[in-house]
Formats: sequence, C-alpha cells, structure tokens
Amino acid sequence: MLSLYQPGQSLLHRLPAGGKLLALSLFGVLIFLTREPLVLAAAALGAVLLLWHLRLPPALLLRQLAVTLLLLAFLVIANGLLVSWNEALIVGLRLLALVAAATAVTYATRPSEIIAALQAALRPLGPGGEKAAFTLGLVLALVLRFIPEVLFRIRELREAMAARGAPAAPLRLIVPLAIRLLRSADEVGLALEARGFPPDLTRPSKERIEVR
Amino acid sequence: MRIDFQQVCVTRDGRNLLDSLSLSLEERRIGIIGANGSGKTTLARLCNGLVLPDTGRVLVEGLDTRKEVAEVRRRVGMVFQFPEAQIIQPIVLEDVAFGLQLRGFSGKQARAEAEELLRRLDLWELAERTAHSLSGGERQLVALAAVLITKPELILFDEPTNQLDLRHRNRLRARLRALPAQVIVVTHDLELLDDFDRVLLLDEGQLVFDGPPAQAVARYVAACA
Amino acid sequence: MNARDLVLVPLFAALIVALGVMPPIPLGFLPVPITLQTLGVMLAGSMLGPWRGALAPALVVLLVVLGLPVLSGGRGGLGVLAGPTAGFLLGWIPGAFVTGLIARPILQRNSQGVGGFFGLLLAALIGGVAVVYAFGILWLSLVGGIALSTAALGSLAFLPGDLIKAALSAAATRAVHRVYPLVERP
Repeated sequence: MLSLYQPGQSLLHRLPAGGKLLALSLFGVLIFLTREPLVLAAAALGAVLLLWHLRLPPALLLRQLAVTLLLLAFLVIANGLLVSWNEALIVGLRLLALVAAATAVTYATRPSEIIAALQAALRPLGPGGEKAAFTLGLVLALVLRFIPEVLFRIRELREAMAARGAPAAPLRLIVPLAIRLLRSADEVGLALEARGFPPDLTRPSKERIEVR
Repeated sequence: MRIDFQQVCVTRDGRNLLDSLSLSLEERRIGIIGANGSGKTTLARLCNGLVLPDTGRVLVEGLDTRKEVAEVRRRVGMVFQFPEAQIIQPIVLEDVAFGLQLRGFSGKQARAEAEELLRRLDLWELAERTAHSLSGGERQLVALAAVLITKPELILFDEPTNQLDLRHRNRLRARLRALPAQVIVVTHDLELLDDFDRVLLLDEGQLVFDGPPAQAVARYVAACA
Repeated sequence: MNARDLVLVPLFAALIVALGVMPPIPLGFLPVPITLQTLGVMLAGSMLGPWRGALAPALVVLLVVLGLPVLSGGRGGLGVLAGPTAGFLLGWIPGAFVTGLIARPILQRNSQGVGGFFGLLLAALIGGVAVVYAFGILWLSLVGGIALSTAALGSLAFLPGDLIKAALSAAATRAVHRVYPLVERP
C-alpha cells in the first residue's frame, strides 16, 4: 500500500522521525495551553509555511484536507455566531496550526522510519521490550500482507453474488467473509508456529546456522 | 533424522484421529497416503509438534515434541497445502528472510541469505513481488524457499501439490527430488511417491499398510475402487 | 498470546481497512451515505472479544499514524489525528473493547435466540455507537470550541447508518458463531 509520504530533500525530511513526533506532540499541547491570538497566529503561520515549503502537489493536499478544512470553516462560523468571533479566531488558528504541522510531518516522514522509531523506543523497556518490538514489526507486516487479500475476497464474494443474480444482501457477504478470515487465522497461525514463532531473540545475531 | 511414535493417540471431539500408533521413521523419502479424515495430516503435524499426542509421545531425534518443540522446529520445516496463508510477509524477499529473523538474525543478514537462496533456486525474479500478486504455484515455491533458508534436516509436506496447476506440480516435484533434506510427504498425488523409500497408508486413524510405494499405492487404489 | 491470536488482530484490522476502501453506500432514506468501516470495528469487537477486538482498530490507528491512506476516502496521516474528528477514530478502540465485553457472555451462553440477537445488538450499539460517539463528540467539543449539544447535533446525521450497521454486526456475529464458535463455553 502506498503511503502519503512524498520523497524530498527538505529540512523536515532529514530530521529523525522520533524527534518529529515528539516535537509535534509538544506543539499540540502548547497550542491548547495558550489563548493569545498573536501567539496562535504565529504558530499557524509557521505551520502553514512548513507545509508550503514541502512543495506538495495541491491536488493531493486538497484531497486529504478537504473534509477537515470544511469542518474547520464550519466550526469557525459556528463559534463566531454562537460564542464570539474572538473564540472563533482562537479555534480556527489552533486547528489550522495543528493540522498543517501534522500534515507536514506525515508527508515528510517515511512510514518505515516511524516504525523503526517506535521499535527503538520499545526495545530498552525491560526483558519483553525486544519481543514487543519484534511483534510490532510482525503485526504490521501481517496487516499489510492481508489488506489486498481481504479486498480480493470481498470482490470475489460480490461477483459470486452478482453471478447468481442474488439481491444485494450484505449478510451474505459479511458472514462468509468473516468465517474465511477466522479460518485464515488458524492457517496462518499454524504456518507461523511451524516457522518457529515465537522468536528466539537471545541468540547472537552473527551466528550462522550449522547443519548438525 | 529419526522420529519415534510411542503409542500415540490423538482424539478430537470424541473421534480417534490416530489410534495407538507406534513406529519409527528414518528413511530419506517417506510418503503418507489415505482418504480424507484418515489421520495423515495429523500424523505429519505430530512430527513438528503442531499437534501434540493425547497419550504416548513423539520423539524427534530424541527430543520430546511436548517439551522441546522450539528445538524440534529448528530442525523440521513444513510446507502446507494452503499457499496463500503460509506467506507471512508482504514482499517475497522479506518472507524468505523471515525464518532467519525468527532465529535472531539481523534484518540485513537475513535478507542477504535470502537473496543468495533465491538466486540459487532460480527464483530471484520473484524477490520484489508482493505475496498477493503471486500465482498459487509461485507461492508454493516461495514457501519452500522460506522453509529451506533455515536448513532443516527434515521437511514435512502437507498435500503440497493440491492447489497447483500441472506446470507448477512438475516444478515442485523436481524440487522435491533434488532436496538434500529428509522428506515426509502427505499427498493424494500418487505419482509423487514413485521413487520413495517407504509409504504409510492410513485409514480412520489406523496404520493399514507400511512398506514400498508400489504396494501401498496399489492397496490404496484397490480400497478406493 | 498464541500465534493464532496474534494473527487475528491484523486480519480484522485488514478487514476494517478493506471496508473503508469500499465506496460509501447511499440509501435513499438516509441523509448521508453509509461508510462501512465502523461495521468492521463492531465485528472485531463482537467476534474477537474485548482485548483482541480493541487491538484491531488500534492497529488501524497505527497505520494512520504511519501515513497510510486507510480511512474511508483514502485519508490518513497525522493530520487526521490533529483534526476535530480524531475522537471518532480513537473512539474505535474503547468502542470495540466495550462491544467485546458485552458480546462475550452472550456468545458463551446463548446467542441463537431472539434474546441473543438483541444482546449482540446492544453490544454493537453501546460499544460501536455510544462509546465511539461519546469520544468523538467530546473531542469535537473540546477542540472545536462548541458546546457538547452542538457537536452531538452535528453527528446525528450519521446515526441511522450506524444503527443499521449495529444490526448487521449482531446478525453476522450470531450467524458466524453458529458455524465457527467464537468463544469457548465455560
């Protein structure tokens, strides 16, 4: 599955993923702690500039942000009419700052970098840390592995129903689909166990396997 | 590699899947045949601990599958009949490397070994393909590569050619013949067993025949008539 | 957690994502077309129980964090979590948990009768609708600066679709359990 990441050489691209996520979280907290319109305006401007300097294709951005921007506009108007225009300004600037900054980070960060950062954060956490990091990687791989499979299965079932001229009965799709998923879990689980799951992560990684 | 079955019984939902089975498997090429529900898959899965005996025990080179299953699975690999469910990682190279990562190898090393293996097996062109885009036969070959990477001494095949077209069946058969490892195959594909050393015929959980392939197959064919 | 448990979570997460790829279904009498993703969340909760059920949407949230376009309409990325509707997404996690919590004892006793259906319906409604809406409306109110009542009013349009989904989830869970037992009888 293709991610939203857009390759580039900007400063934001080159910063470490973990740092970006932490900075974004901090930014989010601070944004909600202040009510000063000037501060918020500066933050919003900064965030929008950050997004702008990535030089993203406008059509792409619009598709992702359309719903959010519409909702933002609605919220600003609702606040203006129901509460006050000062409040509307604060809400608008806050959301604009947050959404712009968050969107910029997403477009400038590879998914693999984020996962690696999460795994690195898990590893030092006690004895289960190494295993948790591995499991995270495995679970992610599995979901990416099976999204196209499930989509294919849905299409197959729909075609079968259409071929039979059956009326659109959602249950006749969901029930066999769910049963197939549950049975697949049995099979994949067996395959995983046969391959040697759970992993033995205590061995030194340079060791080569010798045939006895 | 030697596998000992000592009075092994396996029951599920009141049914006897295997009834008091005692034997030793040591031959290089062993086949298991029988009707559906005869217990052949159960027998194969006892060999790597995916199924544990309810009574009795299974020893793989002296290792009890109930107690040392991790070590058993280091030495025994398995290829299943369901091609799409046994490929676990989204990209072929990653899936072949995965077995080594489960053994503690680093990602980089595992991928290097996987590349070497895929080249050797003439499957390198599949390396960057997604698992979903592979045909059933390609999946089965990749699944075999993913098992071979940890160099198991014994490989179990559970109805490996069931879902394959003729071309891929032939290709798998050729691969099987060339394998240096010991092989136990559960199958309906009787031609697969031509040059095997020993074939077991099961019927309703009982071992009905145990001997050379030609006779076992003849006996089975007669019983099915 | 054994291998099978470990696999069920990503499989149902994949289901939630796949249902989001399906285009929204317009039903004449409804104000907005029905998106199918929350149905996946309800199914995960009912069929996998509270813990595995909650982990499935949690994994979907992780995919969103990674920047994958897994939400209805091909949306994703941190921008969604920074936005005013993030509560409706994050609420999936406690929602599936509660659905599973309520569904489990029903599946253990008797899910096949009329009582069973209504029990499973309740599970989907309380978890998949009430809890999710609670988080969504709360977040929307906090972040958007509007009163809770205003936020609730805005979400009303989606309610009829979600009620239908809850009924589907209950019926499907019951049917599946008959063929493939989802829990062990105590």
